[in-house]
Amino acid sequence: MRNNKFDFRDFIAAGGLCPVDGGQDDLFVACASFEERSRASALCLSKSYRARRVFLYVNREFQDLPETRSNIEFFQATLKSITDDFSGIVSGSWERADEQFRVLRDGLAPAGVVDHSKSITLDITTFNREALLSALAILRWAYPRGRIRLVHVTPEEYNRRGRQEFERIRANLEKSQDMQVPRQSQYVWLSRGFRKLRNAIGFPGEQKPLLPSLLILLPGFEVERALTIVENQEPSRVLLGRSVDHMQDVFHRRHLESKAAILQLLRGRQPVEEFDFSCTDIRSCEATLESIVCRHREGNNIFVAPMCAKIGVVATYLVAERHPEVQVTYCVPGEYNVHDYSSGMSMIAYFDLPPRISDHATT
Amino acid sequence: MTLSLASPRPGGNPFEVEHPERLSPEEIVDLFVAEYSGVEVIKKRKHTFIWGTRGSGKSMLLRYLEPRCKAIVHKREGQTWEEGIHNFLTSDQPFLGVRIACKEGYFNKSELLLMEKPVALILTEHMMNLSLAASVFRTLDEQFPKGFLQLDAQSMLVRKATGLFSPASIAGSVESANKLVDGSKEPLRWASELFNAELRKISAYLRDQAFPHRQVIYEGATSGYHDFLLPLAGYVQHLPGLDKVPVYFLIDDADRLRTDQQQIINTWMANRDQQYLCIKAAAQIHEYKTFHTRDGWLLETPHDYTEHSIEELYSGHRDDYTKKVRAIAKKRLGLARIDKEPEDYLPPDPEQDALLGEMKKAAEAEWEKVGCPGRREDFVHRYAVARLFQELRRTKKRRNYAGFANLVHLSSGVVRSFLEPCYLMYDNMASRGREAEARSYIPPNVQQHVVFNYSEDFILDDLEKIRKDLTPDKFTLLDCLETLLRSLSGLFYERLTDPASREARVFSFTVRDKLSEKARDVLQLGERYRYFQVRTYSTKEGGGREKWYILNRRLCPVYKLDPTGFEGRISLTSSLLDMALEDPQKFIRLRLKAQDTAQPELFSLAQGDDGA
Repeated sequence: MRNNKFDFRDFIAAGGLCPVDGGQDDLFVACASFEERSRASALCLSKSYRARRVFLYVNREFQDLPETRSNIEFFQATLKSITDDFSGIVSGSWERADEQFRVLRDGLAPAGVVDHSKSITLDITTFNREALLSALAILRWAYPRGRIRLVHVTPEEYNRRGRQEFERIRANLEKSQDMQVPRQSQYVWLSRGFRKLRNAIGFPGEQKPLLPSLLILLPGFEVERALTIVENQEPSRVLLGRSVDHMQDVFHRRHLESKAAILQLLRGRQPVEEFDFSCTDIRSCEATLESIVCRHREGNNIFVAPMCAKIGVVATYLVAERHPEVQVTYCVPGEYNVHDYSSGMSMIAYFDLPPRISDHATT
Repeated sequence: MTLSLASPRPGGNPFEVEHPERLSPEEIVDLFVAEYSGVEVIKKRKHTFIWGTRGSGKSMLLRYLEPRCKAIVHKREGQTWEEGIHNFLTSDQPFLGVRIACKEGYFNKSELLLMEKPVALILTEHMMNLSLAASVFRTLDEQFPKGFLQLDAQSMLVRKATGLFSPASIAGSVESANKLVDGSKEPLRWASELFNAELRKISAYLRDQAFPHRQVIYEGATSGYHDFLLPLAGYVQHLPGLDKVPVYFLIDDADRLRTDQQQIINTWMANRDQQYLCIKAAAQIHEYKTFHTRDGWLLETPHDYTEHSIEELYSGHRDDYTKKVRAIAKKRLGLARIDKEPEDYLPPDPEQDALLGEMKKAAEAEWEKVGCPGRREDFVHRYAVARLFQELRRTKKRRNYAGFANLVHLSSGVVRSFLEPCYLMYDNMASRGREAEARSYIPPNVQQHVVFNYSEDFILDDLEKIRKDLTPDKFTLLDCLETLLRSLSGLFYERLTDPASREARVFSFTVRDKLSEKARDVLQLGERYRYFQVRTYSTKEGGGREKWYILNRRLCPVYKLDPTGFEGRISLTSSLLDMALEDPQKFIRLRLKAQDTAQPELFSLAQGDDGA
């Protein structure tokens, strides 16, 4: 599994993204969202890039936002030029797991299982985590001999406007010597609230009655959402991940702050242990999770909640694919910070997933 | 990997938490305080709902009902738990407690949404039956002494239980179990593995039908109540040594099930087969969404079930709750090798304690001055604390809520709400290098700092969290709830600090006439998120019982109220309550005016001891 990282602008200047196997991809998949970086994969396609078919997904709850509409328009203009088979955008529902799954399954695998080699490019950047898990599971099921390349683009910054606003208010209050400084979380946030906790479809896990439950939590920047998972899952033990790296130092600092806040808030309520994991290297993150699962699977019902960067979600997927006893948990937030989630495009990384079944193996 | 928290241990934080699932039977018995826990009600041979919020001790209670814990409890001096099991089974109310957890994701799996509803329901009930069956066999295997059940009897039970399925439908699982366990030597473990394999088969089916390679057919067995669960309980009862002991299925976290899954439990209860099996379902009442069976019948109490509310102990029998928390604190301090009484370990603020002493003396003098009305103790009890708050207001000082008794009241009937701030107090000191001091006592200023923040979180953070759970059309309700809390707390504060107030420590209210739709929704929201506890009282006019709303005492530090106050309740008209939802100042002003001019149509005061 290769793991390549580049500065986004340098990458475009060097020619951009080529098809997986040099010729043309069989399938190009992306998700249009409200984030600016949503259009990054389309922006960085090489001039010669072609795909036999293109699938563009959008969550209908965000479809009418100006930010999303603008990204959709950009996608539509760009993608038409790289394929002869672009039937337009397909919308599912972020709130309804079954609808989201069905739409993805019908769109990604209209012919069911295809038992010969395929090359697929999947832009994982702005899929919500649950849809990404579904997309991965569907692609790996439908194209067992498929080579899937995952593309991920990190933003320059998260919550730029909120951070500026918070700093402005704080500076003004400091000048006026008013002690009532508002909480940073009112301005700097990615998602808020809680609608539902559920297992990602395809990852129900296997729970044995009477075994204690163990939650492996890979936190990102969302403190409250992580706590909500713990509160609702009520595991008998939490293993809380501590990222050792990030695509940018500033993101790493924010992750560590969030992790510390989660740990602080869980104290007194919940037995917690910590472990280190990588947010930049799928293989490393996968190995960490694999080792934890193997160590604990005999005596626990294991749940994994990847709340971290998408690299951790992919690593979770790969471990859960091998371990059907593991349940992958997803927390549906109340709302996303759709107008100030992220801005810019900083780094691009791509990773190749080897075929689930190699051409030398028998089915 | 660093261990951050564990169960109470010598030299550690006495208030450390460990999930009941992780505790050994010995630890459960060590930590559990059976007195005032409701065990006596729950162990009766009736279907029972056990209501309690998170952290109120439901899981601990259910674990305490498992056979090995009962054996430890029933062993006499010098006996082993193995001997204790005989004592329990020959006691006046023996039972076989078999526990399953319905945690998030155990039964309410997303894949069921992809299936037709009737099929999903059949599979769900089968999944629940299999889980209970696996637990039955594992419980018999692990929680009884070796040799208690003869090998022949074990094998016979397993044959009968597996005979409830057609051999072909469980053939694959038989093979799986055979690979793991020798059924001729360990039949109970073998059967548990068999049912686990059947559960795995369902999970595999759920996955496969989401990714259909070709037509996916479920090839496993299915089971229902009458053709599996009931006969299984009957077979267990006929085991030698368990003669006619009913099986109690202890279903934890039943609020985590979906509505149609809760209907399955209700349907089991509606069968009233208590001579064979009883369902003991623990849940948060507001999250248990239905009392209907699958056939649409409404489950009724007391015919179909009894119920026990863990928090009722506080609102109904406060002294018992205090005794229970004291016993828990004492046990935990003991396990951490801290030889202190809880009252000494968590002392009140000495200055305010002395001031309270003065107020008591003043109240005694006042009692004589006003002609010795009623009993002196009652008079002092009623007025001394109020006078303390009045003095604090006069001198512009804050109440210090330190002290074991205050902390018990502030926990409002939820044991975790006592343990958690205590944990944070110890942790606060340990993190500042004062652990040695923390092993002696927690200074009042540390207690005050922690409980004030704990209270502030409840009103600031938690309300914000709730807002995020709501759809925007419900935001107005939350704003009204926040306003109502300010109105009521303002009113109660004014009463408490008014030297002329006759019933200064009022802390609850009732509504005299029909609630407006908005007020009803706001009160429901407040009840659901525990800003109010609700009891009922019999109306003087007869005609049934009315709701009585008590403010959560965790709010006291922020609103400067007395957590020990419980005397009487204010009766509000619905129009005044509507005003309290909108305008605290106007509401409080009207109240003061009503008191001055005694406008009974706006307010009236009732004594608070007639609730049920």
